[in-house]
Amino acid sequence: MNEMEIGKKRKRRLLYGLALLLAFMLLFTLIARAASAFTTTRVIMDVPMARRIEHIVSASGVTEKNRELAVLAQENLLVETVYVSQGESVAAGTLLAQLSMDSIEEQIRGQEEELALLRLQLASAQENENQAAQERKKALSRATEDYERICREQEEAVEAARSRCQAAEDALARYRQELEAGGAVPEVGGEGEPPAGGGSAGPEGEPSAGGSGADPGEKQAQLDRLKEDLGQAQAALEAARQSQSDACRSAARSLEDARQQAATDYSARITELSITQKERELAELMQVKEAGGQVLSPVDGVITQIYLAVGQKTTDTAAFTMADLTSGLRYVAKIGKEDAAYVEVGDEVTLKAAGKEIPGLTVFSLEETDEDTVQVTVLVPQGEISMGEYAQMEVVKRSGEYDTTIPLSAIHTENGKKYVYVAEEEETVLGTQLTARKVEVEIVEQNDRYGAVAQGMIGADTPVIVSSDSYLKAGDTIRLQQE
Amino acid sequence: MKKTILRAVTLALLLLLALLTISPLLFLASGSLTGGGELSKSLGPILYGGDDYAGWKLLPLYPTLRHFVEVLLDSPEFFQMFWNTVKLTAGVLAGQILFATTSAWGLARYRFPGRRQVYLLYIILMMMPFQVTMLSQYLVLDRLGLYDSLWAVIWPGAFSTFSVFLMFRFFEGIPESILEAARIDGAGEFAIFLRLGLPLGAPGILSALVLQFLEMWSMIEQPVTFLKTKSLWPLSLYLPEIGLEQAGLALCASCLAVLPALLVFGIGQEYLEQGIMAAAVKE
Repeated sequence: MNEMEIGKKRKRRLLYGLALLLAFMLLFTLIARAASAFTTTRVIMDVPMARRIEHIVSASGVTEKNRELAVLAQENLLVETVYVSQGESVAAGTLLAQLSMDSIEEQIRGQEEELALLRLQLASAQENENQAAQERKKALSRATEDYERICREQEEAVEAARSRCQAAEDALARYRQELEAGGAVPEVGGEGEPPAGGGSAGPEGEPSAGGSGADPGEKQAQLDRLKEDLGQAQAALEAARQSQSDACRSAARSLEDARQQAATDYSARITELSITQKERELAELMQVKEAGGQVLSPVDGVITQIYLAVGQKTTDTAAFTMADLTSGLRYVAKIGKEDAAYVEVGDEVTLKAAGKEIPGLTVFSLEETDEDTVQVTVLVPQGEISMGEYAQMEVVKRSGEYDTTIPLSAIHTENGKKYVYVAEEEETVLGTQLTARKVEVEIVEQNDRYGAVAQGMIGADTPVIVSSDSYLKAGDTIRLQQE
Repeated sequence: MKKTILRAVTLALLLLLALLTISPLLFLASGSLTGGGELSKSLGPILYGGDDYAGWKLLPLYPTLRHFVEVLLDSPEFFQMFWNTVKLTAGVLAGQILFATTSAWGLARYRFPGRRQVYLLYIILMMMPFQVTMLSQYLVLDRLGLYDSLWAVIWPGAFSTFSVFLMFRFFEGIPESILEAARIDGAGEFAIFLRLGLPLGAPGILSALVLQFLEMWSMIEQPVTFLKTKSLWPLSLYLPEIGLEQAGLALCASCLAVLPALLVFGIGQEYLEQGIMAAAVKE
């Protein structure tokens, strides 16, 4: 009986022990599950999507003048007041400065006096020019007349010499004919002895070669005389010709000299030009006077530089320089070279400034400023933004559509190779669990948010791990992070 | 004097045999308290190969509870499998209480044509190893849509023939006169089974259940064959799952796994002895 009691007690204790063990196992089941849940890497996943890769290039910049123009004031006038200051915005017609009226009057008087003086000088110069012209005309007339006369006289002298020469030739020819008819005579200049008894004076009283009384010596002498006469006549003709040439040349030069004297005096013309200039200056001064000595802004703009000083005289340079706002503004910003690869001239730009957005602008120019930066210039229409205002520019460049794009945070790099972790369901003792699998990928294009994966490297429905709360390695069990 | 010496020698011999018998449990307990480095050194030739022999120390050089912490806090798989084993075992035992007791009672207490043939069939089926009936069980379970579910292990276990055989022996031992008296007093057949059969056959039922518990707690073939989903696996498949590299963890898990079996054995030891004796004597 006692043994039975002990046996029952022992059984009861063992039963309690078994119950306690089950309770103990239940408790640690919960603790182990909780610990596992706590230590399992929690991840955020994203399913690849088809999208275009947008390259958003943004930079901060400032607006500048697009065109600068100079405001001129009449030279040498006393500045009475300057009404604007540098950087001030002015509308068209705004009074910029006041010039002294006394100074203007004085300038006008001075200009008028100078003009009168110039007019007198012109009259005098014109008179002198007339006289000179007449004299030149007369000299030219005389030179022409001399030239014609000399040429004519020389021509006549040459003609006379030519006649004499012709006569001598004729006489010599007749005498030779007579000699041939009367007897042989020696040839002139070695042509053979003239025939004996030949030769007589010609019909014009010239010595006849065939005279019955003339001996061969006379005939030869007669022939020699005739030849000498011909030589003298020819020399005279040559001399006349030479004289004609010299005289005509000399006369032609004189005529040429007379003609050249014509265009040498421009003093009247110069004076005329001076008068025109003075008249123009005077007219400008009169305009300044009529305007009351006021210097006005020609356009809407901003004063960029003032060159006038009160109490000083105006100079021949600009009185003011101002940014012309009617031609709009230039927005200038600097971007890195990597970003510049995605920006081209003509690309659409959006400017954001002081809560205002200006879309639809375009990149006007890209200019390399140094090794790392490129200056982007955008033309901004008038009235959209103030000059000197800071603004944020944004250029959005969209690629073609890629089938598989993933967040950039999902892409890892190891030894120059890119890879992602994809989540895969795996059958484990604890049930179906997610595990991380490493997949090497090729990134075709990327921006600061997404990367396009080359076709076929990961499935379109395969979720990729974007982030994890602890260091992740291939094969790790993971679970989705609860939002 | 001589008798005393003989007793002492016998006791020493028995103690030695007992020590040898429980030595696996001792190694298990000491191994679970041994550090990883020390275990690697002892089991190196087994784990990594080599010409040396594996050694074992009964008392670890640097005892540690690290493996227990690891199993209890960092191994939810162990608990998943533990509860799977509990579910399978509980299901099978419940099934046996329902079907084996009634079957054994029917066979033991009623005379009907073909009774002996049915009983013989039970004996034949009991003698068959699992490998023989594995394919037919698989085909039936698959056709019933039970494959790869806990029912695929529970249902065949619930209809285990060994329990029927064991209970049959106990039910058969109940004197017919007691049952006749009950009938005369107006008790129905179900009331007789419930009020007399079950209490009087309780040792047999309990011994069958304890034996079945021990078998089910460590079964391997049925889960491996009929359970494909890992989350349904019982604790007996935990050790193959974690691998030899984690020997400390494995030893520790084994220590924890053996505890319920030891407790149940302790509870049902008396009935178990009776059951084994009944089976042996009657047979």
